[in-house]
Amino acid sequence: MTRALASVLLLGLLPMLLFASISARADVVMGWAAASGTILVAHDGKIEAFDRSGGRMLWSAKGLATPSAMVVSADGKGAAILDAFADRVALFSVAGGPVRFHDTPNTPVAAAFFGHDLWVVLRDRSRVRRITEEGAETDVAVALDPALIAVSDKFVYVYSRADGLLQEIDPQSAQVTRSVQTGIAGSDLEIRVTGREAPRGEPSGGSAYLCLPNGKIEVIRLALMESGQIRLGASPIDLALVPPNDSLPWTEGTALIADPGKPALHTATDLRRTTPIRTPTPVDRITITSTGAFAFDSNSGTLYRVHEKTLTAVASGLTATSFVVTKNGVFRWDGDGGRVTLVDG
Amino acid sequence: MKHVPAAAVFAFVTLGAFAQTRIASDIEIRQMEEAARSGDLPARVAVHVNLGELRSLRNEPAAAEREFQFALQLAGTERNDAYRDRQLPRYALACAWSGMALAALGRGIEAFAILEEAVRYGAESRGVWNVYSVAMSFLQKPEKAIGAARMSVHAAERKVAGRATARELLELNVDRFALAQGLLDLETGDAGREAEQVLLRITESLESDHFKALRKSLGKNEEFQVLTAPSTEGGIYSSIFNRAHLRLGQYYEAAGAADKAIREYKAVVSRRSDEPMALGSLARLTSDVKEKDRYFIQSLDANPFAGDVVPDYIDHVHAGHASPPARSGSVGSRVRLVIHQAHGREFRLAHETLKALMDEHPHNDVLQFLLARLELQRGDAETARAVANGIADPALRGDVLTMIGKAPAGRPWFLDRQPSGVVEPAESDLRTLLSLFARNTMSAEDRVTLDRAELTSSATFEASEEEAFERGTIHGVPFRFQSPARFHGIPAAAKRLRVIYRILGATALDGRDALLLEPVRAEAEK
Repeated sequence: MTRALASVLLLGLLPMLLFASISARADVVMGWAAASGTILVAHDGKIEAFDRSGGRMLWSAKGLATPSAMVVSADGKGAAILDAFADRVALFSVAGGPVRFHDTPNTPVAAAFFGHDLWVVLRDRSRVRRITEEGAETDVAVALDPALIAVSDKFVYVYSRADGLLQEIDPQSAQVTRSVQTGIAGSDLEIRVTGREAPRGEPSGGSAYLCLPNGKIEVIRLALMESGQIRLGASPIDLALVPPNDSLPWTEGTALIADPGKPALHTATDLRRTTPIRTPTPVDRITITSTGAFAFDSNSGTLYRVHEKTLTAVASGLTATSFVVTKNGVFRWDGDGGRVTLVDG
Repeated sequence: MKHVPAAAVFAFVTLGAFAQTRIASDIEIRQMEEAARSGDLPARVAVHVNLGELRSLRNEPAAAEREFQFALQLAGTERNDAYRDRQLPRYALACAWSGMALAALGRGIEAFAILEEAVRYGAESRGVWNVYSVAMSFLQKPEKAIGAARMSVHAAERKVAGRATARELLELNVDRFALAQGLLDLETGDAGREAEQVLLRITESLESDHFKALRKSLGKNEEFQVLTAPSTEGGIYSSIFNRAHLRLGQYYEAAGAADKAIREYKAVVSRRSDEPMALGSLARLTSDVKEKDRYFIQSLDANPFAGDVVPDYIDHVHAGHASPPARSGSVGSRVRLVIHQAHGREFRLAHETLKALMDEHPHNDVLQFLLARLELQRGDAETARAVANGIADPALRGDVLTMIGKAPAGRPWFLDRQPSGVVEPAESDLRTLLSLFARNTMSAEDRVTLDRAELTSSATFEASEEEAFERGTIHGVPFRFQSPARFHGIPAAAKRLRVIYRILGATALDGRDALLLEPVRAEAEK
């Protein structure tokens, strides 16, 4: 949160989880595996992998009918595609291994990798399902309307919107270990873990950040599972933390917060002192890689590159999942041409 | 946030998955259309979606699609305006209605995506989850509908946890009803039992002291306002009261608990005497034939196009218990008249009555259903199939196509095998012949075959003033001799004869299609 935290290790939602958006083509999902420089696209019942330039297809496999989100493991080796509409999940190796399908009733809306185990939120069952690398499935009961999931170095965290409950799950035993009451109806969960390795079985250090609809950010100190709220803007809906970089105008750990209620994009090294950037249109999604920060307006489908004090539009006609920010720039899926194209690099 | 009237959202949950519980009277349609012209944009979106659903339930698919498309367009405008104005709860609700309109149009994945956007912005809103739930019912995703309904009930319960207004309690019951609907859709024992408990909670809540004043005011006047989109607390109360008891009635009826079902249906009729589904169900379950007939008449007067009541009424007429309808009168009366005329084999008259109704209510699936049946009864399976293929409702279309599939071949067997004598041709053979004559599709070869063939049938004759045999019926198919005939040794007073005849063509008798026959000989039936 402050410069003193500059050396934090960012885990949070490093596996980039993008939610389906609202334009006509809601069934295209893209992902980026940084370690191997692979662009992944799920479309038209297929999964395709392209090289970092987007110019060469590496492999293609059978996928899901109506993909809604994609998640890539922290080491970039494994990936999963969710089909929240048809209640299925596809797991595969980014290098092109076989695709494994799992039925996941009901409504797999979010997922995260802990190591190589996939944790899938089954919203309408109030469950989280662990799917191991070997395919074993274990369900964990959580509170009503689980919607957001993130991992630290030790635990899996699931946030349920109906009662505003953040539950900590031990990934080995698949048991809920602790929980904390927070605000209801949150829209984004991020976790920042300090670099200091916590002893085995002990809670991690660091914090969880939860965007709440009423102009507040809830900050949860994970070591103690204590929470407090900070007033921030009008309707902070998405928060992203700046990764280690040499080229961005913000230091590592700086938070960028989309606030379509203002409308503004807030930047903060300390959430109590934010700097607003005016946005041409309300933006509600933020993505940051070491090559740039991007803000997305889900309603109009416009993508902006975020500069220190301004935003410039780089593409339009997108859905929240039909583009991906990589080390080499922003790519989108061109459905007519059946190819990946660079839109900003 | 601009508040979308609870009534509009409420209207929604009562539609969709439970077509059989719905009314779709002309009065309702008219009042809804008036509502669609006034009010703010979100309310108009809701009304157009509801109108589309009403049209759909009246088996008017083209009109329904127009309403859904218009609702989608309005919701899109509302969404853009709300986002631009940074009114995010309003944006969430507009997204939800967009999703609902898309779901109604069958555009599932797009609907799902925008509904997810709605809950991203409005996860605490009971209204958003309520619309989400109904949209999932539309898309036949019952588990998702149940999940969303649990969220809306939870949000509504949170709202009423302190001091609650009557409207908030009504909204809670509306959300409970959506949950019960979803559970019943699952068609499993456990879900059914949970649904029963939820419905009983609704009916208990509605009988509680919270609504004492409301009940008192309703007791003075039977509420006849539009129950599809009620605008008053009284209307909402009546609507949810009706639907909860109806669903309980249907649940008990399916479980074979007829007494419990009748009790629930009577509860509905006690508050709204023109509820067609309850009346239709009472007609089905009541054993007293006079009472049964009265319930059918009231039900079809309330909704002449109830796709499930009409087939039951056809059975009632066939059983011989139905009282004759007036030749002019309500639409329901005229629909009943068609059924009676078809049953009495007055096919021409039935066709005329039906045509007049179809001119007034074009593209109506129930009328198309009746027409297809009529053509089939007249022996014209080909035309019946063409009419059936135009029925949008898959259940009705399936029913009539099954009937056509079971019907005899489109040509009497003796036209192809060309025998010299045919003994006891079936009614369907004779009606098919009439149809071939009517459509002028009899080939020269067929005519030669008919000219040669002598057919033998038992005929029932009408009394004749000329002391001769002239006209009557064979298996209910009217016929007339080319000229009055006398048969040696058979008195003209005889009513039933075994007649050997040739078929010359088709004619009309008292407005009915009839065969024109040449008698060869006859003998008294033993």
